[in-house]
Amino acid sequence: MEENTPREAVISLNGVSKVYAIGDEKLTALNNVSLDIYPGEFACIIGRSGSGKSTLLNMMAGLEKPTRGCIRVAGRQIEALSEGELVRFRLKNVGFVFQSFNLFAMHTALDNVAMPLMYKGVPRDIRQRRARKMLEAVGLKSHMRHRPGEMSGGQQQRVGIARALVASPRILFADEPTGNLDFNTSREILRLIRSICRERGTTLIMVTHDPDMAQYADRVVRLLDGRITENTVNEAPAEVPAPDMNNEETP
Amino acid sequence: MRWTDILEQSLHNLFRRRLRTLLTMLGVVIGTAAIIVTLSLGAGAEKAQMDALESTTNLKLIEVSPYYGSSLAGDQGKRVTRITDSVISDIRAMQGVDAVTPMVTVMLGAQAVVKTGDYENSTTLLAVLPADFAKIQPLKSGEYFTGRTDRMEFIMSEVALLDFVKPDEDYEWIDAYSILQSGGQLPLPPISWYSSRYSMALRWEDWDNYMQNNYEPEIREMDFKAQLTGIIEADPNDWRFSYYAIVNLSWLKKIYRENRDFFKSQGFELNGYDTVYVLADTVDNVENVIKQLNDYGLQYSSPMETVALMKKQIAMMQGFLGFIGAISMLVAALSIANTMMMSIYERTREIGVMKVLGCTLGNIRALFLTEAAYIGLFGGGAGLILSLLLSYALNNVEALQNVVSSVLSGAEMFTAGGKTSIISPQLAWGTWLFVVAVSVISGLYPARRAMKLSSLAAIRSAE
Repeated sequence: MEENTPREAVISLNGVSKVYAIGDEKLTALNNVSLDIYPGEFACIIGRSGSGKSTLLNMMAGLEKPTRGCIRVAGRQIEALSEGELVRFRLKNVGFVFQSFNLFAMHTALDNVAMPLMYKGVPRDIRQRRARKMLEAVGLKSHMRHRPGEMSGGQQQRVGIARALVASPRILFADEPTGNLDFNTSREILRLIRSICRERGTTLIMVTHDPDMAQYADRVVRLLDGRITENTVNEAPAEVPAPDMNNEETP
Repeated sequence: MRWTDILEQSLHNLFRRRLRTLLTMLGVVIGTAAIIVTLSLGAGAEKAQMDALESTTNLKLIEVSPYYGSSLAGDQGKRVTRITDSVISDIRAMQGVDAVTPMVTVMLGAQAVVKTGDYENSTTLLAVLPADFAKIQPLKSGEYFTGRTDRMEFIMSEVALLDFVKPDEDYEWIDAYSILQSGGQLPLPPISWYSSRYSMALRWEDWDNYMQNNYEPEIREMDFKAQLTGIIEADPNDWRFSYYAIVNLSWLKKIYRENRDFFKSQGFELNGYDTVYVLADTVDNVENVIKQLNDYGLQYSSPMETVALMKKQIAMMQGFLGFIGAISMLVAALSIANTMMMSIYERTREIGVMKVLGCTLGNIRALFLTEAAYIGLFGGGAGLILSLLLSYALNNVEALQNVVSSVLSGAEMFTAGGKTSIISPQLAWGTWLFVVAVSVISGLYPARRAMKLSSLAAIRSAE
């Protein structure tokens, strides 16, 4: 069992609750959630719409503060950090992949990927070199000069993944990363994220409403109405199958 | 972020919405031009007035007199109530003093008459120190005395030369001022000025002997040899030297010593000077010299006092003009703030993503402030170019000058040859800097809003 392992959790939630006040009503999005996620794990948070899964992810990423409880990420008590400290914390530790990609429309793929390094103050030639490598790793060598509008959804999400990982974060958060993609592209993106994170030892935390995803994860956390209903470790997760070549998406 | 990246990203963001940026900048261009052109008109007026003043008065000249002020004003420091030769040497030793000469007007009961041939000129003697006077008043021809004291050497203005008339002919008054104003030639009498022989007579009426003369006083004269050595060009605006025979103070002292009883009987004593002219070496030094004179305990008057008053009036006018320009700049500033706010609302999502990706709050602020600064920099630069063009037009198109003259009071100060609009480098750079500063200030609030956007709300805003 997990309690006996000597490893230290990279993310540790203890009695976390989140209550939204909507007018006079109070909406409990998370109710006393405790959860440990260990370095290098692929944790899948599964739940229906409104189950509190996105709230949970946002809090682990420091985008929202809990109403009660404490959250430790990479050794830091993040609910106590100021917004400025959180930005620096994310810059150092956290990568983010969005459902709607959130690429900068006026910038090329290369510039998009290099953006977090620019925020870090990395000189242009170095960040361009690293961004290029990252784009090669996600299979977009030939699309570096394309703008988001000139790429397919799958390609845009690859850019998103490259951007999330270019600064070598310890943790990658992915909020429904395949939500806007068709079945084949979803599998493709999932394979990509999985393999890159495994290769780099990056902890991957993915939020999805797709119960099918559970089979590929090291840890499955199910949420219902703000409570954890299942937290299991999958000793032998399945490999994501290669996409059907006949149906492969064309740019 | 590196500052070069901030500069580049901000520029990139501006060019993303060209039309809006251009319209906002247009406001800044107009605001900048309004400030620069209005202030340049003020500067032009100031220059015109200064030129006018400088052409009629010597700004470096200070008139000094003994301290006449009442002792009721309180006894602060030294008071010099009699200006002697030793006071003159003290003034000469003051820093910034180029020349100093007493101005001794010889006011007698007797009349001074300069004679040559059939001509006579009733005049008043004004005694000065030649070397110092030479620095104060240039000559048209001749020289400043030869230094001889055995004869009366004198200098006259062309205006005074007109008064050489034949006593037996009807006197016809000549309006020298009108002739000079209209640029005409003065009808000087036909005397060969430097080769003629002159004499000067002090002529007075002796009433002691009237009994023997049918109740008429006896006219008595004291004659001196005289020589004209220099001529001052006629100046219709000058009242200091134009109506005198200017003589060497050493000569006056000599004849005063020799005829002390006569001068005393005529009510003239030479024991201290009522008026002294002090010439500062530069206009900038006038204030310094005035201060030293004041500390020394002398009274003074200087055209610089007029200049100060004039400058004050012009500063008021410029303040008013600048105020009008500043209002248009205020409108431009509001438009900058509005544009920035719109751009922030449009980019809410993008800003959120930037924060999630690790762009610090300071960088976000820097990006937006830089954008605002660019608007000021480019708009201000274009406004400066527009101002230079407008200024050129104002200075070279007569119709425009007439409009300006009729709009601004004191139209006559824009005289021919003068510039209506003057843009000094200080005005140009200063305004540009001011405009950039105003732009950055207009960007402060929008930049704060951008910083305060919640990254979460920002990401969700478009979903």
